[in-house]
Amino acid sequence: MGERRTAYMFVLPALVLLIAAVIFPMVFSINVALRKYDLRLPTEDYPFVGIDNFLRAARDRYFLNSLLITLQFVILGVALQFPIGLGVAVLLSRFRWRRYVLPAIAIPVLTPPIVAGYMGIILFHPDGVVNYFLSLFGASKIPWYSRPDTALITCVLIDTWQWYPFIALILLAGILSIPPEYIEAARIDGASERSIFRHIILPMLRGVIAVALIFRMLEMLRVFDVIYIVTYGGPGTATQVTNFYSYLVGFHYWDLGYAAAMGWILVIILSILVTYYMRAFKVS
Amino acid sequence: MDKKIGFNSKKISRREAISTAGKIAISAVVAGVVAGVGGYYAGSAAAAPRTVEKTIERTVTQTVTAAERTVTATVTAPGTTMTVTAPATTVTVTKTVAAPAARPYEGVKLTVLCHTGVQAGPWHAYKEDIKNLFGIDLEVVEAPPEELYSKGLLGLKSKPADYDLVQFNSAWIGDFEPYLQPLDEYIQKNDPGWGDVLPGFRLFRNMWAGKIYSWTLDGDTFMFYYRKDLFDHPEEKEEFRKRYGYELGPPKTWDQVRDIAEFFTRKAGDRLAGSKLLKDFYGYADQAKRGRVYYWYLFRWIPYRAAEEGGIPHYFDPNTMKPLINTPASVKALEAMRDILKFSPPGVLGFEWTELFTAAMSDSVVAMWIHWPDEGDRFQDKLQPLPVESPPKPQLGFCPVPGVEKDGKLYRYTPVDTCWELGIAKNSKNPEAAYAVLYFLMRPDNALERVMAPTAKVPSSNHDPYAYSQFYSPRWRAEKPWVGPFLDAELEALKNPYPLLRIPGGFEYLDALDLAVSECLAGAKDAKSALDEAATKWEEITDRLGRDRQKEFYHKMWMVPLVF
Repeated sequence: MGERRTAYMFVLPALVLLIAAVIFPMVFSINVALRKYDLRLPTEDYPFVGIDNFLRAARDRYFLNSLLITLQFVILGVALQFPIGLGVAVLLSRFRWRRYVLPAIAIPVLTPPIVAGYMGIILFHPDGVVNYFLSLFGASKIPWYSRPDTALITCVLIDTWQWYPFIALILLAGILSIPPEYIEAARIDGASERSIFRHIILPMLRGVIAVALIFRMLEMLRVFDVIYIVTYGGPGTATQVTNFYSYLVGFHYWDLGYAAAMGWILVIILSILVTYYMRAFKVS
Repeated sequence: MDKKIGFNSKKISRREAISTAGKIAISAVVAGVVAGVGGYYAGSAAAAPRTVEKTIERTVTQTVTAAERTVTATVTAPGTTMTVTAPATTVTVTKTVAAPAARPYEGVKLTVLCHTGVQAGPWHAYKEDIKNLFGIDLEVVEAPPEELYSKGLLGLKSKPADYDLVQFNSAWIGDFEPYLQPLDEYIQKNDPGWGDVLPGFRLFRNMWAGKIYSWTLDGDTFMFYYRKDLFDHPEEKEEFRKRYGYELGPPKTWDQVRDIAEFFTRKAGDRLAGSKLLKDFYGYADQAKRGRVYYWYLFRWIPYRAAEEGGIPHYFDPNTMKPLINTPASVKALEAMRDILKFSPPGVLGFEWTELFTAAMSDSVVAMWIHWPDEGDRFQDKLQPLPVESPPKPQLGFCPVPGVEKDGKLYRYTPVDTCWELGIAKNSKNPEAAYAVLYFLMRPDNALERVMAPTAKVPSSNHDPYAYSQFYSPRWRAEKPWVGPFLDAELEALKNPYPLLRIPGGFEYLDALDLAVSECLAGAKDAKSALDEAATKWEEITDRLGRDRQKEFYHKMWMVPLVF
């Protein structure tokens, strides 16, 4: 009994922290999501409205549109960041002096997202670096982030610039952890480099790829900073992702109940996607 | 009443002390003479004792040339007596008066919630003075603007309030009103200069339902800027007259803005101001990024709607709360706004404050724009020369925001931005002390320091002028000679103020409008359908927040003597 009590004592601080930092806010936010919790209302007793906020979200064109834009952002982002990250990881795995290159590659990841956003504005400004290089090939100035058809891809490119090294680093760690015997044996059997990559490296990286993609996908689903800085959700609703919309609703309109409901809808979608990913990649 | 003395008491320099004593002496002499006490006939006369509210620390001896007659007056200061004697041609004041009164709020601790960063500058600059004068320990809590609402509201609701003084945006007054202390009675007793504040700010920002709830910290409004060096160029003037049939000058109407914008939009290599252009040049630019583009739409909406209504326009029908943002004139205003984008730099839909400022003031590739007063009262000397081979000396021009002419009448208003105010918590444990601090900060001399910042006393504030004493300040005009014409222009513009929406949900209404404007400018929707959708959203917001309640607030917003 004494040992058990000691064990509880050791666990207690972590438990208290967990309750205070995770469980209580979660329960509280569910409570908020089920109420008409609007700071603008002249009451301190916000009425319970059940799932009204969730139903409202299902009818809200801006919310549904924001889900679609978020999805586009994630698909485009993953489609760009994964191949770039994988390519860089493979190159680095064969590069003897990689230890000297890695810190430079990791710099964008270490940049605060707000700074990355401003970097993006500088890069993609009509008179910025990207347009300068394009102008060398005769292209005219593109207002990247202020045109509805290019604004989202601009945000994706900025996000890619910042986060492809993250995927590259994780995959590099995965590649380096593959026992070299497998690759050597394949080479002795006459397998080409392409076959080795396709039939040995990629399958053995499955778990690592799943982790990298899940991390990135989760991060991208809750993208906010780059949108806030670069486009503020515009032009129009061209880049109004769900997190940005719920930020507006929660912290500018002060309709906290509705914002919390949107947050929970996003959490449910995230959970489904993560479960699917885990199954698809057979990660246990 | 003892605390009243505290408001006015301060340590003053020898020069100030002498000057004050002199003034008191002269006042005493004049009082004596005017009272006809008969000093001349009776040999001496005593004027009525008079309470002195200034506390002087030192012995002061001052000789002042006065009337030819001898007058003796007795002036009573707290705890002492000052005798003023005026022999033949001199007045002599000799008296040691009391040491400074005890600091009236010794030991009181107050908390102020304010905007983080440069806006907090004055609080830090005056914190020590407030301690020295009143004995108040002032804790300054800073919050970013997006947190000020929630922190402020929740802090004000607490009992006692978490914050005694709160910096808040005037747009939030509907929500803050129940928790703010009306200032009318305080101002009646001790007025730091209510009448000094321009009517546009007094009525449309500080007052609510006929009561005073705040004092303006930052007099934000909007001005129309243009390149005076370009407008004054004889070659351009001549060419413009030929093409458009009227004189080139600061535009009075939006139609004129369009003409001038079209006229000045030129490609690199063309001629501008008599020499070769080195960069593409644009006639006009808005701050058209999603988020605050609604302001730039309202600059058009207000006069277009005014011309439609034949007077000051309404956001809502005051009787039904039906939105009036999608009327034919509103649609026309948005179409006009989109039309003028042809004469703006590429990427104008991504322009926020910095981008517009940079394009107009630093890159100098824009002929006209509308912005807050910063360019005029702070950065006028930052204007760069035109991007031509032989540029004229850079000169910034300014005038009120253009209007719309209909049947020979010009409808032209200057929007008074919803901006930073200072209020006192109703639940404050020390409202008197809080008012003493408000009084101190709003006193004309300290207020001038704030709006003139950076100064030696206040290194930063970003506060714009809002009071006559600031607009007419000889000191400001002497220290920055270029500011005078701008202050005159702004004062002129503010003769026709128009309020921004200040009812609960104000931001949500305006953000819905912002989205509609942004979608239209981006080409995703035509003006009519974009504004119709915004109007539908406004109806939803009104219903959600309670139509009757919103109507009541809307009436409160306009319930000012100037308008109705």
